[in-house]
Amino acid sequence: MFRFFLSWRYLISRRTNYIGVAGIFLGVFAPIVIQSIMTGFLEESKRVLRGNLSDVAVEPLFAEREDGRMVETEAGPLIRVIREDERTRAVAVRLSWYGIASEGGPLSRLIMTGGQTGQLSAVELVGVDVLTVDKLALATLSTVLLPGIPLAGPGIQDEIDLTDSDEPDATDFFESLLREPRWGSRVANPLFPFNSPPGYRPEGRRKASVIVGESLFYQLDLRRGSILHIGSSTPHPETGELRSNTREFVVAGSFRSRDRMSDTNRIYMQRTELADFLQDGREYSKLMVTLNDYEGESAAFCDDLVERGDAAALLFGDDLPEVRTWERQKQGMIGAVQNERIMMGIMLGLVIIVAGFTIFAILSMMVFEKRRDIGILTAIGATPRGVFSTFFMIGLWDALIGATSGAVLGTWAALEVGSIDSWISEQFGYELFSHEIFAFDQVPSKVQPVFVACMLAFGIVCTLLFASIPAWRASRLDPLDALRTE
Amino acid sequence: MNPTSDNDLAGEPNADIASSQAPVAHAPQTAVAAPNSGNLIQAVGLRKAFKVGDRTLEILHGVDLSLTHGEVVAMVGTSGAGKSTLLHVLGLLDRPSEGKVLLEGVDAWSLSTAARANLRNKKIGFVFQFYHLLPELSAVENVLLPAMIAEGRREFRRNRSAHFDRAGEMLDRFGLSARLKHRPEQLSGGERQRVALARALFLNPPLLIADEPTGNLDSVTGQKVLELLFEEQERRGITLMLVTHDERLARRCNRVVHMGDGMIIQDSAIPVPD
Repeated sequence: MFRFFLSWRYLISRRTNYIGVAGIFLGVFAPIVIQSIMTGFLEESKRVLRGNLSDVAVEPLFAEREDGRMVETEAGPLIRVIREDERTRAVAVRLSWYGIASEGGPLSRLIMTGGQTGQLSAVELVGVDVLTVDKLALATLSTVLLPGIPLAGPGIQDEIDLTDSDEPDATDFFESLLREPRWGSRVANPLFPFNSPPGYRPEGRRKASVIVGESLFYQLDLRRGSILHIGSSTPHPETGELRSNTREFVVAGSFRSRDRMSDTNRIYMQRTELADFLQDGREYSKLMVTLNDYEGESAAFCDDLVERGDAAALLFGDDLPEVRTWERQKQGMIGAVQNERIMMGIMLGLVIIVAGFTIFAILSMMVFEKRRDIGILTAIGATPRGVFSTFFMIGLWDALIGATSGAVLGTWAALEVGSIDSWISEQFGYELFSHEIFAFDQVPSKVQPVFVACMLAFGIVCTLLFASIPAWRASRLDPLDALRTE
Repeated sequence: MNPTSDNDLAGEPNADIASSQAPVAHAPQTAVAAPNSGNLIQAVGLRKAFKVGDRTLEILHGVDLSLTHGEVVAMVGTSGAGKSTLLHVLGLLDRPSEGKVLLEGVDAWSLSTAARANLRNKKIGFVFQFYHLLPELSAVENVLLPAMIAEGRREFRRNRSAHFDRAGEMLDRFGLSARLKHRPEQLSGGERQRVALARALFLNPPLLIADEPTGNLDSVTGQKVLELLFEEQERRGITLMLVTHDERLARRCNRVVHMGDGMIIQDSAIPVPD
């Protein structure tokens, strides 16, 4: 009985113990809040990246294989292999290359030659397959009016298959068109995004439409209907000789992906249009695949696809990373955030250890000061085990009060971090998390119950370990030495 | 070492105490007392030595002593005579280098630490010169401490009310009814010592060891505490072992054990006045 009673009395009667409780509280509270924000940040980043990249990207190397066969440059066979796999939900075809974009005036000269904005001069040209009014008409004719009858040659039929695009399901292309722009201008009709913008009246031949990332759109001071000059260089498909191409396009609008890089340097156009512009013999460069169960099936899907693609000479093989999950593609960024999260976890874990040292110091001091009490307790019948338990229980109270309140309040703070951020901003005019930098509408936070439980357990165990040392020393004190103290 | 003759007291500071009293025939200081011999506690050939650097310093040189039930024994002697060391060994706080302490016939130092702690809790009450109350506890809580140690949480909770009543009654009898919830720092020296006495007696131990209980009190207060101490001893019939420098106090005891140089140099009974 006396252990419970006396330890509690010692705890509440000495204010230094509150420092120990506060230390343990912070040691548990801070990691929970910060790890929740880091996890939320990671999840939010993943969500944005995943939206742009779909689940799996297939990027064959179009070269001669070791067995002498050339890798198939047409997308059709590989798409069919992918679609045959029942784990596939959607697949979209992409053609990507790089170029230089200019609005054709003095602004471009300034941007391209300016040291501060030079990075804007290089753009990623991405060809996507979406329905156009013309192709929709062709498809309708094929499937409704003449069912089962090939409309034309195999090439046209393939094109109809391909333009029966999975783009809406495979990527967030359409979502980026529909998202409220901050600086850009949405396309007139997202169902047919590459239709010429309203009011576009070409003097000569009608120019193909492009959709520009909203940051680039803003930097080049573009409008819907603006003419955009795009230049690029590609190797000749047979000789490899480098050739330059320049063409004018009409801007149909802007997109907002929420991925800073994409919004700054990406331009979308019809894939056939880009292939025609580049003239490098490539029909596609990448297939974007979405799976029914990414978490559970992506690894097996990638392995199977590599095997089947290799067997059918649709991939180069030789352990090249031609089939990659989106996480693997963005390994650098995700890895950095994950690393940061782990490092933060380790550093914050040290806070608990420091708090444990505080408990150790406080209890050691208490044992020193309470030598006489220990002697008295021993004289009136307390065993060394009883003395140990008394001081150990002070650590237990510290741990239970500090760690539990830290876990509860830490979880609450992590869940309400957005409100807390808003409140601090309103009260003090200071923004803790810059929305401009992170481009998130809310401070991201995701509480992981397992982590909370681990921190709670770690806080308690660590405190008890540190408390056990002075408690053990108390139990070893010679009662006579203690009683002589006055 | 057995008690010595009167001649051995020559030159000793408390010789007057001894010389004023007739030497008594002591109970034989047998090496090992048979159980139920009437002795409450018996010291047999106690030696205690300390290591000081390379030297070994012997404080007790083979002390034999027995105390019977209800006896009131004063232990006198100069500083460094070994009184406190003997008291601590008999009180099961300090392990002897040699010899035995038989408490109700049980060799206490051969028991486990826990069993010995249990003996200290149930059989021995301590009153110290400096009171030694726990400052975080109130007067009544200090008194209840031996019961808290003796009983588990459940048992104590079950008996809590009875314990509090009894502690309250004791403190009331000791003139501290208005001080039950006061902390030691709020009590005078005499009040603290009375609380310490109540604590020592709470579990009705058969042996009460008091180490200069009035040494830190003024004479009037000390006298009051002593009156209380003797009153309780008589009322309970317990054995009281008292270490003191006070001659008058020693004269009030049944027996005076005179120590010098780590030995009992005289052990004499004091005749009870008619």
